[in-house]
Amino acid sequence: MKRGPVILAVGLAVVAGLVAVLASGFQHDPRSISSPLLGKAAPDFTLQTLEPDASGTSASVKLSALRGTPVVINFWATWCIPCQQEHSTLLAVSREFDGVAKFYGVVYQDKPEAIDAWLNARGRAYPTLIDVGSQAAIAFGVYGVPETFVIDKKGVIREKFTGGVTFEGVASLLNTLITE
Amino acid sequence: MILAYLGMGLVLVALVFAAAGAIAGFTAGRTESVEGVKWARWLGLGFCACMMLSTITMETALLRHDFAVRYVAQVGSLSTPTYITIVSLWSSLEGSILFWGFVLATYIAVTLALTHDRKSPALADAIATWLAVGAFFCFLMVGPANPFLPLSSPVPTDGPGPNPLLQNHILMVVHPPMLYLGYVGMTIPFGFAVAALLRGSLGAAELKELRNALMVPWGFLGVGITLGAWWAYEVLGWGGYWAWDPVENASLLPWLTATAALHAAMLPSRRGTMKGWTTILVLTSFLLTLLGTFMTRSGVFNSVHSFSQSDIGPTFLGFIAVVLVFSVVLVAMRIDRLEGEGEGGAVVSRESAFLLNNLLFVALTFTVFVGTTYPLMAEALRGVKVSVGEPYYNQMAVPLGAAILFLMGVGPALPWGQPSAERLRKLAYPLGLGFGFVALGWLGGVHGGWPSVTLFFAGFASHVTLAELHVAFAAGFSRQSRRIGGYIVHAGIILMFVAVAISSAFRIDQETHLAKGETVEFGGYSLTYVAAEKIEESNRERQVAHIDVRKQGALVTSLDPALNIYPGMGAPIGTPAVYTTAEHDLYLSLMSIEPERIGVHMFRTPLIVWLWVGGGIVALGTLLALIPSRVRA
Amino acid sequence: MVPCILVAFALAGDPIAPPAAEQPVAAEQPAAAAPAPTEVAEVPASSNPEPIVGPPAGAPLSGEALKVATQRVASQLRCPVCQGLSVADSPSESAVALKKEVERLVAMGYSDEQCLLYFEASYGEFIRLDPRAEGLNLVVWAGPLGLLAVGMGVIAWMRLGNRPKIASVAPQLPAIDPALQPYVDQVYAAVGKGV
Repeated sequence: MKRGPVILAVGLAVVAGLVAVLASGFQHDPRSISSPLLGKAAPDFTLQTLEPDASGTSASVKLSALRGTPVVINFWATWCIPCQQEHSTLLAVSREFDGVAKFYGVVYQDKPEAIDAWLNARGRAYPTLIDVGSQAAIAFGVYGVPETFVIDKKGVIREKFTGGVTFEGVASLLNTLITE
Repeated sequence: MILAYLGMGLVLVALVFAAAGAIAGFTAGRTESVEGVKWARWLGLGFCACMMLSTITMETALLRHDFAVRYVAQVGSLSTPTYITIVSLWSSLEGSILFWGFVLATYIAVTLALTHDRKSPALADAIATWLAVGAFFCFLMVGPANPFLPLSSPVPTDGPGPNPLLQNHILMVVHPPMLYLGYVGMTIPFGFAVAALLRGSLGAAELKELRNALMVPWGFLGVGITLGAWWAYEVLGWGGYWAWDPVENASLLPWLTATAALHAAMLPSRRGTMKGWTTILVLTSFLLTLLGTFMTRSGVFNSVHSFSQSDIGPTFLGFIAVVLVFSVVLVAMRIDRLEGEGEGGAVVSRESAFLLNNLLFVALTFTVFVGTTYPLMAEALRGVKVSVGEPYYNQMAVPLGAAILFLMGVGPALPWGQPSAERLRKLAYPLGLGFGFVALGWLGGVHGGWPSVTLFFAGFASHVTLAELHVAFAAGFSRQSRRIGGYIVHAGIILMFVAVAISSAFRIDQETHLAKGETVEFGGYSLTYVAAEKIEESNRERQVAHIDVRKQGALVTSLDPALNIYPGMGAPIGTPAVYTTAEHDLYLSLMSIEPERIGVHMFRTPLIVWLWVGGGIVALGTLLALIPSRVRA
Repeated sequence: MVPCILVAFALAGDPIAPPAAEQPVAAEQPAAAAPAPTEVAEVPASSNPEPIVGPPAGAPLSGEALKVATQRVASQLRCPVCQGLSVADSPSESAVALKKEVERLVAMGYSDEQCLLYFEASYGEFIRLDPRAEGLNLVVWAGPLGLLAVGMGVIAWMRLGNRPKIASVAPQLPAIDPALQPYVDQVYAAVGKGV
């Protein structure tokens, strides 16, 4: 009984399959996880701002009340290095779209004093929300920071950026959204 | 700068030696030329010398803080203690490839020395295979993972130091080399197996050589895996030691197939069968070490340990593909010639136990392999990221592990060939000890489930193992060292099984916050937070909490869990404190520390110390098994 | 909080995460000297799981039953910031927050599967440590069992079968799972002797 040809055929088929599966891994970033919320209504949250408003107390922001304007939600923390790198980009984009899109930073597991010091050092252009007990992060399925969600006028999540954002990435999407 | 060029030159020469030696060896194997074997041997020694010298060059650069070498600038720092500077050789990708080459060179040099009087063409084939692997790693160092790249921009005066995880615990100094010795060492049995397949024969002497060559890296791999688990337990602060991470699985896979191969190799020596199967397992073990390296370095797998920034992935996958195809073709061409004549034995016999053993190990390997690689497959075919984690392995791997433990008891109790009724009746004693273990566990609070099953099988296997050891010692140690070693390994594994089963099922934990002077009751202990302390060390700052541990009012120990802060690294790294007794470990992990208040996670884990003791016993047994028996059985 | 560098251990030589700066998503937790995770002063209006997974399948739980069920569900959820650790095992702040959320759902009477589905709706299938046994995922569950079953069959055949008989049957064997090929080979090896 000759087993050689059988082993050869079956073995090579398995090798091809295995190598194909391993090679397919090069096309995916193991750290970027697509969100099942894309194309769905953004989960609602009500969070307090870090910065006091005119009356001197912190204001409360309800996401669902922002319908009609595109919203950019950036989850970040002071201890995260990519967040530092993308901060200037976010500041620039938010200034570019001042008045036509709303930006919020949602701080994820951090201390108010640390956040304040961080923002004082790096500048601020939009409100910062404090995510007590990570409720918003859980509702949005945040795996790490920074993660940035872009929500259209109807309150539907249109894009999730994992890791630092680029100016072009956010700006081109917002240009589409504001004309919708 | 000089050192960078010197190291690079040595790697290049090593590449030339390895490539030439591989060609010379394979040619000698085909032409059966004794002169050719001699050539392959000398070229191999040349490769070894160059590889070792280039590693020494790198060490010199590290110790002299020669930041003109980019790798040194990447991992070196003036404030790093000297012993950590030495081991930072393997703290990053390029250096670890160099270290890989160094270990391979050492293995080849030792094997060449041990076989110096042999000039058989089979040896030429083996040498050629080793050098071909060596040539690939040299190629990596010349190409995508060059450790000796000079730093062209202004040479910095200091560097960031190696990754803090490497600096944080002494086990990290010992554990990686052990795993390396295991991974790289698989190249040697691979070479012997390739030679056997190329020649289409595996005689008794070659089989013994293959088995010894396999046992060395198998032993190191086992020690490496145990030390890794211990390191995780001592450093990571979650009270566990194994999380079925891809990188952990990667080290387990070749260990499993090599274990299967070590057992399979006993059948041909007894019965003349399974030679082909044994070589297949050896080839698989080597391939799995390559796969493990790929998992760690390609950035394809979701693990903290992977170097996502490295670009050796495709090159490495190419190498894996070549070795896979080569192995399949080789096996397909030679399997019919290699499988010899053999006696089957009865259905209930030790032969059957060996076959089942191999099936279970292969099934376990396949389970871990599928669990580890399935996320890639799901992403490729379904476009969805999935996780395969601990609950999966608990359901799939635990029963297989229990079955292996069962077989560990039953197998050696069964005779070769035809079992006699009397021999089967004698199984009553181990059965008794099995029930004894269960009863003992019952008294200690183990009431049913997998832990009780494990205790039963462990009791059974303990009796059989001790009985076999008794017989073997009676026959004389020097005659039976291999058998004695083997059963001591079994004893260690049984101990580890019990420790894993009981510690994971009966661990208790609690998180709490303690103000200064406050006491908490946990697991029969009273823990009092006494004071915090800041200790400045050259490479880090330690924030230590002193906690007094009392039992029934009497002070038993003081535990000092700490958080360590390394400059330039964001997150602090904890050092849990452990109070170990034979019965259980009290394990404290700091969550936060302030002078007046700490957050602490407390664990009490029963019998865990026996896991490390078991690992030590396995290592001891392996050493004994490697002592040449004076009279061959 | 304890840093969440939780992957248990390292392959030789790279015990290491890439430096935080190079990670697209930082997995670290706040600095050491941070105080204990700020106890939630005011719990914000939590999201309502009902639109996603329907009304609770069971009765509300409390006490020991709640603790056990929370632990059970948490051990099947991946800690989002860790590497393969479960929410139950991980000391990271994210895991603690998720565990609280699990506890809240379980207390309301949601079943294990409902809880998992709820988290899956925002995190995706990746959050489940235990791949659901359906579709392609069956490979993970059935693969090893199939291999074991066929392997047992092959061994039984080798041991029990009448060798010359097997020899006549063997050539008509259908192609089997390649991983089993070695066992098939053993059969042939045994067969070869008698032929």
